[in-house]
Amino acid sequence: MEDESISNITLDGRQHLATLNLIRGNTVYGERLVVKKGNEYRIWDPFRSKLAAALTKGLKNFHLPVRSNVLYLGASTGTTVSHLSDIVGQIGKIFAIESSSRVARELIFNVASKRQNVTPIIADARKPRSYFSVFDTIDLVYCDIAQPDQTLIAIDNCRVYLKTGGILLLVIKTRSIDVTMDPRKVIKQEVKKLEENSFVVTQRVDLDPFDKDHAMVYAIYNTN
Amino acid sequence: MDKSADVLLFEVGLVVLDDIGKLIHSRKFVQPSIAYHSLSLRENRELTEIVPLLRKFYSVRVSHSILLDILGKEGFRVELLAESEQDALNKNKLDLVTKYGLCENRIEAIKELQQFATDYSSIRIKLTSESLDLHVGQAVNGLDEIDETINTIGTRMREWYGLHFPELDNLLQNVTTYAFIVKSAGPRENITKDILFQADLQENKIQLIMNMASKSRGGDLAAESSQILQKLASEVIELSKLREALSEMIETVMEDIAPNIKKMLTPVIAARLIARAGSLRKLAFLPASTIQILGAEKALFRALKTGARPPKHGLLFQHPAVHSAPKWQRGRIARALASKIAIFARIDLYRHAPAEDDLMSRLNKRIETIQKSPQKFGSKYDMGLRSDIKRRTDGNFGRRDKGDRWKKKKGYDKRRNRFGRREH
Repeated sequence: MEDESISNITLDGRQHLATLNLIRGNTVYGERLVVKKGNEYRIWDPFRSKLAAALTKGLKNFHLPVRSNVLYLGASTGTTVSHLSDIVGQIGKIFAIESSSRVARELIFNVASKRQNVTPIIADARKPRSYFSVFDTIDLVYCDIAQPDQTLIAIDNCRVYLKTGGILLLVIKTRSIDVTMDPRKVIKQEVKKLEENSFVVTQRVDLDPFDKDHAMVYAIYNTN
Repeated sequence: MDKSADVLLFEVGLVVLDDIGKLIHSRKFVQPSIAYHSLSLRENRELTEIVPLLRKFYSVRVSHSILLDILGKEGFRVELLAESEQDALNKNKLDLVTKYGLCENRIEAIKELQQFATDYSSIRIKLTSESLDLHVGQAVNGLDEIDETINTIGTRMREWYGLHFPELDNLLQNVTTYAFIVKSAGPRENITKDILFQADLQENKIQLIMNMASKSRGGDLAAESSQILQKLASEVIELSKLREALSEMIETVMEDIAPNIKKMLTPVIAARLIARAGSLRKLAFLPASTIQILGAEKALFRALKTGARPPKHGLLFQHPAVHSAPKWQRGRIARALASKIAIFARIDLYRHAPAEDDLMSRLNKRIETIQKSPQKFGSKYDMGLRSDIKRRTDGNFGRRDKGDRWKKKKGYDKRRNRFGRREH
């Protein structure tokens, strides 16, 4: 995690994750701004963003180079999107898919209209070919949607957009998949689905206590 | 005439290629987001230049289902490009739009595509924000909140004025009438027959109140308290007026968007259903079984988790046919209602005309049959069974016997971490 875009910052005696602010002086959701060695960083709250939670809980090898292209399913109001936008930088691109126009409104006003590298797309993630404005090869698919068939939706999207060797970060919401099942079983079952569809799952991280009954899965897409 | 042409739709413009991939025509949209939106409504405005060009070809291949629909209507032999070809178009979009002259270079292309996405998404948001069912949902939620507020501050007013004129509380049920008297009179000495007459009260009630006012046991009211109380009372009256306006608005809008479910359920319940489902469209896509328990999600998830009995009704409980029925009939009536709501919502969404009377009369007949049906012996509601009575009085209402046992199992606390603390 010695990236320059992601940094560990000590504030009031506590370690915090932070990302290099793409737009100096701009906050997205009321997060704190900290200046370190002349660079401005935005504190990345693991209670607000599941990716930050996963990093805090020990997700390794998460290395997203500057100028990467990200397809983000379930962008919501754009909290995590804004930090990814910090990481990939001006030349990178984030395609943020969100189906609910209520939260997409905030995504557009607070994030997309200010950050040139975020492309907001109001579409249903179930129909990957219906998106407008997705282009280029995608290096990372990030999926955080509350649907029982979320894993299959993520797989469909990867088939259409993700390059071979690209990465899928999948948030498994065990409660959305099956409320009655043991969360650990749900995670096992979903990982198996990924492995049956030419993904290599290298890590899974339990997001407790930041998000209950959630897990983050890191998988590499291997079509060969 | 045996050749085919390709029509490619990009966010920023349209391109026509012949069968060997030579560029025949390219057209850049002046306002891409608006052009794309008009196309997505299946309007052919943007295609007027292209249609005559295409007449020369035997068949047309298109990159997008939108074009498939529009050109199909124009009478062309149209087919969609293979999915692999569509994906290749997406991957090379930046190079292609530059190559076909829609954008000057890649950097411009990225900029224009980003701008397009923001504009087009904003159009979509604007359109959904204008849809009436969102507004009716807000209105009905507002109605519930105003009811709550009237209740809260109305009670405060009664309590406060009760220090001064305690007898009035028992004489008047209606909050607005009470508020009207407080607002117009202030201290009880100022209550006149005229005021009470304006408040729409009966002659004998007026006499009674006048009587009580003269020999009330309440304390005197200071001028400061009186003024504030009068303001409080006028707030209650204003809120009641607002409530009326809201419920009128709901009535007219519901008549407009969903006349059939409105007629069946009363405007307010129908509006609540739509608000809970999200929109009329979403409601129309729900199965009847989901409609039946809409609004009882908490109970449903508890049932799924602990094995308790599933809820019989959610919002539908508010329907007179359900809540006035004896308990053991409610589930069946709610189920009958829900199945017809599912049908009516679909009629409202797609046909937008009154449903056949037959549907309504069949529902009424079904409800009558349920009302006449005898109570099942030994059911949960059969008071004759001792074990049932016990189960109901031990605070474990309606839960199956096994419902308790899992709590006593070893490792219960561990299970609670995983199951119990979750909120739905």
